[in-house]
Amino acid sequence: MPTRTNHRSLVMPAFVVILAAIFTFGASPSRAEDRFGDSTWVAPIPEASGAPEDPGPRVAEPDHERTWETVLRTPFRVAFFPFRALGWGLEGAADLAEKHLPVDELNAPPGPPHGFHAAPQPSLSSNEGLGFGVSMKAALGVPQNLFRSDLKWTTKDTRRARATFLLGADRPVGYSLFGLYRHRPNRRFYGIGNDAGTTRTIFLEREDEFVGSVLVAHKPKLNARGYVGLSDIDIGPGYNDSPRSIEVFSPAEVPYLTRGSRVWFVGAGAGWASLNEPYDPARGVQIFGEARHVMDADGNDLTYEAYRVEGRGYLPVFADRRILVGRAVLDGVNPASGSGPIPFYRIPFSNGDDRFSGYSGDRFRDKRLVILQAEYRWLIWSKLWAFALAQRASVAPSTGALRWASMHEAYGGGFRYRITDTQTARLELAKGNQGFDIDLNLEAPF
Amino acid sequence: MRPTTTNIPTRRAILRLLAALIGVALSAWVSARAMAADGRHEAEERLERQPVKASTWVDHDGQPVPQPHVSDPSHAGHLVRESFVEPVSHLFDIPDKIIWLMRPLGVRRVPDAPNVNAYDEVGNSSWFTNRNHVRALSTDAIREGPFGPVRPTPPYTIKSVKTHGFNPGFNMKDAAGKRWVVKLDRVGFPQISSGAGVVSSRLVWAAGYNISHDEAFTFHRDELSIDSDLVNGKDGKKPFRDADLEALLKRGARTEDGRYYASASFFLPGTPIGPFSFRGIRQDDPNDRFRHKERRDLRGLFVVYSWINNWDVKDDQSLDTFGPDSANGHVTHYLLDVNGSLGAAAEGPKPLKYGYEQRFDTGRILQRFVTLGFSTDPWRRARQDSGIPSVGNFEAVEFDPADWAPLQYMEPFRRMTLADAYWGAKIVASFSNAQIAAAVDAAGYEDPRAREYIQRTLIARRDKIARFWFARVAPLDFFHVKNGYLVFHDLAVDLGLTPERGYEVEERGGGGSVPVEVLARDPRISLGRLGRGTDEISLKLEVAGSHARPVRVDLRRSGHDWVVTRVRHG
Repeated sequence: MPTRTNHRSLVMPAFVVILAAIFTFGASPSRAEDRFGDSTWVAPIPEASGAPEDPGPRVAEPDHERTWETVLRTPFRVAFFPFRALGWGLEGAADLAEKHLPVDELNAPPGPPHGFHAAPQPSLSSNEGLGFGVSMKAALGVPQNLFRSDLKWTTKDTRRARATFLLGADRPVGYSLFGLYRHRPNRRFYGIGNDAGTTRTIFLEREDEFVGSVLVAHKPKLNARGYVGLSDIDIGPGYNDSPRSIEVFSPAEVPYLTRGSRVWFVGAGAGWASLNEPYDPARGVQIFGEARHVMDADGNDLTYEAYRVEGRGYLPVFADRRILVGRAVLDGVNPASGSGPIPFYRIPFSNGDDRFSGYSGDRFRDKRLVILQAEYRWLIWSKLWAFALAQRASVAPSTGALRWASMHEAYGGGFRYRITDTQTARLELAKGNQGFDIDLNLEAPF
Repeated sequence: MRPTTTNIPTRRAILRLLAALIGVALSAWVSARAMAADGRHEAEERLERQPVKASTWVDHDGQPVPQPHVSDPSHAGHLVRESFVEPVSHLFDIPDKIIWLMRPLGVRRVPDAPNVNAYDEVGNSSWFTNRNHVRALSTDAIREGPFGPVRPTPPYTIKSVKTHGFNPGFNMKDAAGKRWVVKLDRVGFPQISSGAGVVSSRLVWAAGYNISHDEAFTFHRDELSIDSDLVNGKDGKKPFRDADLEALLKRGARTEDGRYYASASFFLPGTPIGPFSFRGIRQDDPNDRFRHKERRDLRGLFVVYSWINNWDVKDDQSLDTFGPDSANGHVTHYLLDVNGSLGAAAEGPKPLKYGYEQRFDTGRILQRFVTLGFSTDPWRRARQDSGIPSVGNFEAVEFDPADWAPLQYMEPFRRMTLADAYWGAKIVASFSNAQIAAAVDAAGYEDPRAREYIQRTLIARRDKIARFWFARVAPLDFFHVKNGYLVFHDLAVDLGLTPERGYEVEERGGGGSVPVEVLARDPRISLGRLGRGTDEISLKLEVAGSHARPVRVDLRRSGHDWVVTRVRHG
């Protein structure tokens, strides 16, 4: 045993010596050079001598696109030239906008917008054609007093001018004056009722409206207003399309088919919301309601009540970028006892805020209109959302006549993009009972 | 009414005079153009005769040329092009997809970078200078930056006011007569933007690029005065007075004793002639012979920018200058404004998406659309919030070196090859911890947490970049012949990213594969048994057991020994 111990005692020191020798001599060649990534690294390559300004060679001939690649690309370049030109156009438009549109100076003192602002407002729809418009905004003396206006003309001769004066925008009680002129030479009409025919007719509708309002707590969370106004609608044979309504319908079946009407109205509306954020909410509920008493101003023996109720709910699906949205709308008119019939152009119709998905605008109209809609929305980019929707909607002569089974069903989807805090564009493709319908709305309510 | 007879000669005289004036102006303009064109034509002819040498370490592109015109591209147009038009065009680039399908036939989707020398390196030029990855810079040099120990010295005179960009600021002249562009840090986020600019500009410069010299500094209101021309609104400009200055300064972060935090960017030497394009050449610069989208230094910049998270890349963030004088001038190409990097943006901490997703990222948009919004974006997963006001949102855990995304993918980035990426990664990997610390030191962060956090994150991102790209391209480099051996470095081993490892070498052109001795500890290949009967050999080197793309090294016999004639990675 002692011998073995002695043997081990010799081996260990020898092993250590050998290891030390290996590390001292064997490893020395690699450690002699600095290692890449050290603060002392010097690559074993010659140091560049001379400067680019000195006379000397270039590293290569000028480079060009590979010849075979040019041959391959040329037909595609020719075929896609219109798209390339469109791209140049977009760049050029951005360039022009940068140079000529007023922009807030970077170093301007912060504060509310002041002065006069104007912006182009193009539009496009199959019914109205290509629209050219301008929107204007100006502060009247102080930023809390605002003037807003927009003017539009389309290639199908639709004309619109709107103006709003808002006084005391930040006060508990504010006032507004609103004026509207609208000229629509090919307003669509399919008939009255939930089973209206599919023949699209047109009529001319020219409308003037003036409204004065008192606004209370006019914030997104809670707002209320009372108002009084005058509405004057003229009717005539339409143009820019066919057939005309008077060629298909008779005045006996459609009240006021050939007559205009002028009415006074007085009303009140209110909205309440509990949302995580006012303009693109992901959580919460929102309710609007409005009631209006309407009476003739031209001796036409017309008195009726109009009302509208809308509720919206938003529920996130595990995250605020995926949400379920529900919406219900009830819109109605009730003639007062002894009143004559309500003009067909003053009863609820499926257009604008109340358009039925999967159907043309103005497709349905009657004394009651109801919409039930559910959407799944998911954020795909910046302020761009995709959505899938299901909708049931109907019109009826009375609330009791509304039937679940007879409602128009539609399924579809699309995209919505929040252009500004208060303006949302919506592109929707939906399939109703009568086929597909596509709709682009630059002022979508929902 | 008919003209009277007396009117006719008068009108004719006026018309003649006008015609004469137009003629004179036109001929003067044509002559001026012709003279300029003559000068340019002469320079073009002269530079066409410039010899070409693939082994050069200096690409002599600084030859005297006539001054090119000043370019002033539209910022908005550029954003529309790079953010929307180009991504969509690229999506529908059918020939590109055809070429991609032809890869099995040996067709490269993107050609190799043309400005690479025989050793797979970028020669020194008016764009780039080989710095840290070939000769490590001292920590002092990195701390001092591109133009050495130069700092703004009070008092300062404001010469003009900055009207573009997000950050409020102004141009000023300091007591030494030096001119600076000053940008304020935003209230609540002292040093976030100025600090990021200093750290990143030091690193980008040390990497080899020409870049503006940034300094983070503080100043007191009393040290500022406004130039009288500016106060009086000379040349029709809007007057800028004390009240305007006060309003501007209100938007800046301040120290407790009322000093303002700001970055100062030194005016570059030479005459500014506008930004360079990340695509084609500058047509009126005969020295500019390689399309910018194909330049390796611009393609590889992707990797450098991914390291420092410089998400704000656009043509406007560059500047060409002409100098030193009109007779012997040439264009020098600078990168500018890397303040939107690390965790910073002009408005404070960078938005979470920046660095992970482009402004208009078709791939991510499609992914979210198809998955009904249930795919989780990397920037949502990443824990970016440092919790330090002067750092912002910066992290290394979710950072993916290949998926890093600037706000818009510039064309050279889209065309980056593995060889370009390897080159960029090699530069990033060359920075030691001490050098990174020196760059961070230069910002002079007052919050000690900021210094430690940025340094730690940059080191982690550097290592991630090196591991990632070195796993895709064999990081075997710096080949040279010594005592009958082909000696090289395994950069991953040098950096300690991997233990010593074996290599596989195949001789090509010399009669097929030949077993070659390679020493793992001291990587070298004995050349004694190679290239028998031939004067040229080509070796393919791979890391044993790795899928990394090989390196090809060509050698030529020179007397009794061999010399390396060509190296290509990836």
